[in-house]
Amino acid sequence: MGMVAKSTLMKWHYITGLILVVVVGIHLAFRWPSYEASIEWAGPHGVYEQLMNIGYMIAIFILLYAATYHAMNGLRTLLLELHQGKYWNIAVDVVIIIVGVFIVIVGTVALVGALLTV
Amino acid sequence: MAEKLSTKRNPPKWSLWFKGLDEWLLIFQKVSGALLALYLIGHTLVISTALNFGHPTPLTWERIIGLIEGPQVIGNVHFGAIIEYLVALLVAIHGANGVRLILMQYFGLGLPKPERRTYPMVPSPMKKPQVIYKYLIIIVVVIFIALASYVAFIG
Repeated sequence: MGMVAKSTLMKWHYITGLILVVVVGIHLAFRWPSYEASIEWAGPHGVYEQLMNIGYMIAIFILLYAATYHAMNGLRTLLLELHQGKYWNIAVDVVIIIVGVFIVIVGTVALVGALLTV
Repeated sequence: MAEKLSTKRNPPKWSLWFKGLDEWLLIFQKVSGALLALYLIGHTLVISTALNFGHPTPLTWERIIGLIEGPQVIGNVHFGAIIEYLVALLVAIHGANGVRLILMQYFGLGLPKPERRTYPMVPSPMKKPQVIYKYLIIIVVVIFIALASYVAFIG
């Protein structure tokens, strides 16, 4: 990834890490008081209720993007620590970008569609 | 007779990596990070499928989530709930330890000032600020375990 300085990538790794502490906290708090009830479609604290909560959905969008960046940059760092080489480095960057863009697109399509439907 | 200086390079001592708590915490951060990254991919795909890729129905949600949750293993608790509980614990430890690393490595909080090296030398991970960080991690994770256990098994 010659276009972006490594220090910039790591700076955003730390920033997204701090953002994730907040939004993952919100995501887990919405399992309260019962995990089983929180994954039911209907009922109090259920998925339908969560989709209708705009504040929670904003947190979920931020979670999707921050977690994808944080996870993909973390995986990239790990893979480059394990091995280095001209073609390996390029292959790692290409695979990481493809997987990251794929997760973001799939997640965004599902969330936006669900918000427009309910 | 003067001894000949050895010019042979010493091989890296991998055992040094497995010595202290700080080294173990860094190894844990990397391994748990890799596992959580793989979980993120699976979780996004499963939830997106359960939301029928933007056209959710109660039937699709219940079918996919029912399939993923699997059978009940302890009372009313499903197999999937136990996996999610373990992933949440991994997230809590990775997060708490991650905040410690960010505060230390990016903001430099808790790092000692440069000082003259005098005997007996105390390495900075053994000094008070960094020891406090590690106790804070334990406190945060214990509180999290209590709350998560209630949500997963009692609530």
